Amino acid sequence: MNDVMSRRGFLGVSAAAIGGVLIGCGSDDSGSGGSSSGDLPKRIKIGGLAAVSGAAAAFGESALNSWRLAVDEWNDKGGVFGDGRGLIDLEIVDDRSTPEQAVEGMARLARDKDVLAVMGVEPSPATLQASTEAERQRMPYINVASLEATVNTRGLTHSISTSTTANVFLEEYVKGMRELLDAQGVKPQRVAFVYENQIVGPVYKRHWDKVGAKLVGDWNVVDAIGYNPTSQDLSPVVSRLKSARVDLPLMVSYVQDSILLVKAMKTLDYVPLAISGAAGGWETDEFADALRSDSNHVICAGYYSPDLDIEETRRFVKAYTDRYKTVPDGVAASAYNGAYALFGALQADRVGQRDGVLDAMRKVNLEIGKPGMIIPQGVKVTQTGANEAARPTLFQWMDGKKQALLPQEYATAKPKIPRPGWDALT
Amino acid sequence: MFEQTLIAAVTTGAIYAVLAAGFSLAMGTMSVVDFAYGTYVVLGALVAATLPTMDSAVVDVVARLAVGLATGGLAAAVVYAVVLLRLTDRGHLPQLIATLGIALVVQGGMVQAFGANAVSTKSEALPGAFRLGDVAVPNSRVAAAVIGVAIVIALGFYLSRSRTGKAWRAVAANPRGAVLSGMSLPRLRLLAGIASGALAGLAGALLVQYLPISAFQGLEYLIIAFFVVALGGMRSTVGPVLAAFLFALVEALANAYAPDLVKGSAVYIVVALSVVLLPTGLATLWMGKERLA
Amino acid sequence: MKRLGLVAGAMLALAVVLPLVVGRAGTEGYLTDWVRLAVLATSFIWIAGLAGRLALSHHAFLGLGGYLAAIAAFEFGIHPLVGVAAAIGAVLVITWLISAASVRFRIRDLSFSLLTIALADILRHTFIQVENKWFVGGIALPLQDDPTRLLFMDRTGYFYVYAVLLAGCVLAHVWFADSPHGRKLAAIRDDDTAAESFGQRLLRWTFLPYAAASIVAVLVGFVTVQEQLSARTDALFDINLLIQVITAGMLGGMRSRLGGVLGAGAVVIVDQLVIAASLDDVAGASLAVYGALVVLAVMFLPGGLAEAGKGLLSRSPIRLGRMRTEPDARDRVGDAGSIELSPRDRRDLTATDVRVVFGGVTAVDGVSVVARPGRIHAIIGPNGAGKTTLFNSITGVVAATSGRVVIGDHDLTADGPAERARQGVVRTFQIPRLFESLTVAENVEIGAAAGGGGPDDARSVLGALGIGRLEMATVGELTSGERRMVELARALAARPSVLLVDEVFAGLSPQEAQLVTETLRRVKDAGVAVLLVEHVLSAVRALADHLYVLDQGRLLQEGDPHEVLGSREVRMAYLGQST
Repeated sequence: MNDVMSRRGFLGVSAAAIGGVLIGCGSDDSGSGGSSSGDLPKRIKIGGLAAVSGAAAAFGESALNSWRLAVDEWNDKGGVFGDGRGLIDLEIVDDRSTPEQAVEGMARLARDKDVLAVMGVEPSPATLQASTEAERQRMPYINVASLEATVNTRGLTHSISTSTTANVFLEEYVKGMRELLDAQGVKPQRVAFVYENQIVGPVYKRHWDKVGAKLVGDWNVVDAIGYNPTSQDLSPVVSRLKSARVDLPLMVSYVQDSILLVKAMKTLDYVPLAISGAAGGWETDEFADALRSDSNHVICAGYYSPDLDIEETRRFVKAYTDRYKTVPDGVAASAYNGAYALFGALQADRVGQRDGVLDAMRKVNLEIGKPGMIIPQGVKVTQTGANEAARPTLFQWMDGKKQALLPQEYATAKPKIPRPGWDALT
Repeated sequence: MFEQTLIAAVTTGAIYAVLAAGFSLAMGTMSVVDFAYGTYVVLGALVAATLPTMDSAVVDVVARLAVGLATGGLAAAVVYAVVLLRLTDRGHLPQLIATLGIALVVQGGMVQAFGANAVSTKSEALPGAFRLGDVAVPNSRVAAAVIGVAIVIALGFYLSRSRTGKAWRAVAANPRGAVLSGMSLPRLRLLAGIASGALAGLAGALLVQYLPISAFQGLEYLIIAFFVVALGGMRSTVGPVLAAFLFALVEALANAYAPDLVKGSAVYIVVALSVVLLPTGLATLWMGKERLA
Repeated sequence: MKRLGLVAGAMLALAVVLPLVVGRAGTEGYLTDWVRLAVLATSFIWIAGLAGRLALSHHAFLGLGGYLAAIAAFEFGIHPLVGVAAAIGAVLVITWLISAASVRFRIRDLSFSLLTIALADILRHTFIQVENKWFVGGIALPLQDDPTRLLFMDRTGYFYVYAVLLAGCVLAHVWFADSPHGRKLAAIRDDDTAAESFGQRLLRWTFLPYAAASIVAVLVGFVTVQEQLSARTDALFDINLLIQVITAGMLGGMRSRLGGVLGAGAVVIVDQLVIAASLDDVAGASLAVYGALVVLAVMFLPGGLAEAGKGLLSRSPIRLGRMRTEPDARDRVGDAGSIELSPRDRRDLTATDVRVVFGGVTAVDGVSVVARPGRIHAIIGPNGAGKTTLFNSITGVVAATSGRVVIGDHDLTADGPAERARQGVVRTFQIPRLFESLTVAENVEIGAAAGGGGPDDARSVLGALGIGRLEMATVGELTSGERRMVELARALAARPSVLLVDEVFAGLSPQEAQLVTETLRRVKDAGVAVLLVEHVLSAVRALADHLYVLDQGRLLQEGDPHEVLGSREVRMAYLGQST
């Protein structure tokens, strides 16, 4: 969930860069957490940091929906510790889509001694700063959606990520495309890496430079093309791909540019072996909405696909859809996954206060399919706090719906490679 | 790639010309800084996009454009009547801040009404593309460009032939001169503001035919309009139109060919240079500095 | 001085007391936000309020400072202040270039703002690319306690850092605004052409506020990065911050010493109220409320909160001037030769073959005039004859296409208006261009400064002209006739060798005309060379020793006034004009 928000904050006008928080907010009537050992609290407080307002509000909403769903499910089962103990109170703080507010939100939650841990859904700059603040405040911070790799590589001890990183995303994307093409017996002659050069693309590009050649094996990579994501017309980029006879573009794009790229491909009648992209704009509903049938057969590496052949995932999708009347997106799934990882850890270690949370989280090793584990391949927390089990899902768009292609064992469809021509789509 | 870049520049430039024409109308006639301008564009786009699809392509396009125009004009009418016209004597900074505040309010409303996501039209009224050799342009872009140019030309005629248009030009040259035209100054200004907003809304409706637009993009289009008008000449009617194409061309060429380091900043460098060397805009080249100062 | 001490003491007290009162919720939140925003807003007011130039590059310089500091620490392992020093160097160069370009090419107002917006975007994009190439994903600094690098584990430390910065800014602001420099800057802001015609150095006073403010932004950027432990272009070059800063300045009062502090406080309070009212809320509503409040504030609080509060330390633009109605000793009319009206020296002004061409039109076509000490030379001619343009070329406001202007043996041709004023060539403007935010006395002081004089000289000139009672009045309170007199007083206070008077008699009442006529006579008698452009021929007949007639940019005739005015040619040129 990287910087899908970042761009919005970038280009949008949001007023809320400053402003702290009301003193005395978050009154404590739910019984203190953790008294004498062996005496688990009746209620526990979990903080949730997300964008309720501002440019990233769409993602905040997804996350909050999932968190509320998860909390209700756990409370209905009798709380984290069972038998009506460890009932969860979710304390939401609006970060208003800005890093400064995320930091202050974290500080405010930290001041409330009853808050055990904070779950966060932040665009990248905010994630980093929230994790720094968590470190300062000695507050356990669970990053449930950001792909920012540096959260767990800076030696910070108070941040745990249940989502994967951009680097893994890239690797799995390329490996996945390789796997899909191999399965169809198709080999591209000229591969190009196409990325937007301002927001999140450069991070992927750097990792591509490091490991791309190894990942593609014997494929012939002819170019790496960076483009300006704010451009109003990307047909020159496609024109360039066409004249370079690139038959497999591997793309990292944002919302508007991913849409424009595909439109330009149709206009110029450019039909590569497959149109695919990683994260960013490619997996959003806006992409499918804008392109309608033109989005069919586009392959994407995203957080997950709602139709993954995993019972637990399907259960989640149904519960979410029934309650909120909309199919959960990648952020929603990630947030649900992360919440369950946290609650599960608290339950397993019987932790009712802040200072046991990190140890409990580092022990988490939950496979896909276990309760709440809806994203391949589950949550396995390393010493540095990263989740080494998580993998992106490769799916294809079909009639506005996502169809899981990889991991193989949960796939529900097979891609058509080479993809059909443009006329065949309508 | 070069030909494609040129075509991209031309079609984009046509829309920029509409944007600039509207902004220039307000700025020239009233010397008013309206930083809510971008929101008229986005509002026009969002409302036009949510119109249900019509059977006939022509009706569909026309309806959306009309809706965009009306929305932009209405929004501007409210802004000018309630706020901006009271600030004409206060100077540019208060106008700028006030209209920024308005932009935030309108943006909030748009997010409520249309959501935070980018919005597109439900179906393409003009599918297909126009092809010539290696170059292809979507029909919707061509249509938008043609309509944009037509609107700008029509505006030009209106300014030189109609009573209101001539009055506007008189006011731009000398506010007190408006009295001679027989029309009241406040009324002229309000009309100019509405026309400005209408053009912005129209530009938005044109854009959304082929581009997804989100509620947060107001500032982006304001900056484009502002820069193009400054590039062309704040007191000229023809200057901004030419500048629009120049701006789009620089942008497209930079995106295609410039080294990464200056790709994003090329347009701004050009604008900065032009502000310094041609403070009164491109129009200086044919109108002379003193006439414009 | 006393005021400075008072302010310093108050700030010290607040810095000690407030953290205790608000606790961590404040020092880790809104209180520090307030102080930080106040620093940015105060410095912003230096450019946008004091200097009157809306520079929209503040956030970009913040980013520049922060990023270079981070690069120094992270990439080169040296103290971040080295990076800050580099940033300050860059700021000095950039702001100097922009200031020089603005003054040289007369870039004002919106064009200036546009230039700074372009600059900000160029900086941002450049750093994006720098980041992409060398610091992908931004720079992350390790968390540690190192006060020498402003790295504090306890974020309360940053409150104190910003508080110190704020104290420095406010004290500098108070000191400056009270000083003569402050008045010079106000004059330039109010009317830079007039100010320049009185010797004010535009480049210096465009550059200094802009550079100073931008350096403050650099420092804030440095502290920001140390607090956030991260430098990323999307977070550092944040236009939303600029919007907040502008709003704070506007709400606080752009001409006020405490404008930044008050405005920032208002913004923070509004934010708090919005949060309190809309927790868990409706997306977009908080921004809408914020925007609405901003609009209301702009519409109904024109001078900002400072103005509304009429605080002790604020400088209200609508000062109630004290106009003394009884004449007193200062109003005695000086006699001929009195020291107040005499020129600094006696030299001839010679304009030879001056041609001024612009936009294809030849406004002045080879005109030569001479002005000698102790004589009044009048220039007349029908409308459009080029009289004011000729004046403008003599004073340097307009550059002559060809020809020479010489005073004594000093060639003025290449000099700008400021230099010419310093050489003793001083003018009045057809429509008086007084400095609206200064009092009458302060206006005349600007004139006196051009002649090397001070406040006392200004006062005696006012007295000598019989308008001493207007000393403390604000320009807004003056009648049109009084404005002309003040305009004249300002010019005379500069002890001109050559005084150029541009159409001073139009629309004056008979008494006022009488006063001006007497004054000009006294000035002439004192030895000043007077050059007069006039339409009112009765005044010309009464005063002129020598007459030049201009028609369509050319010298039609010159000589003794009565002869010239009687000639057929001149009367034909004036056919249809009233006499």
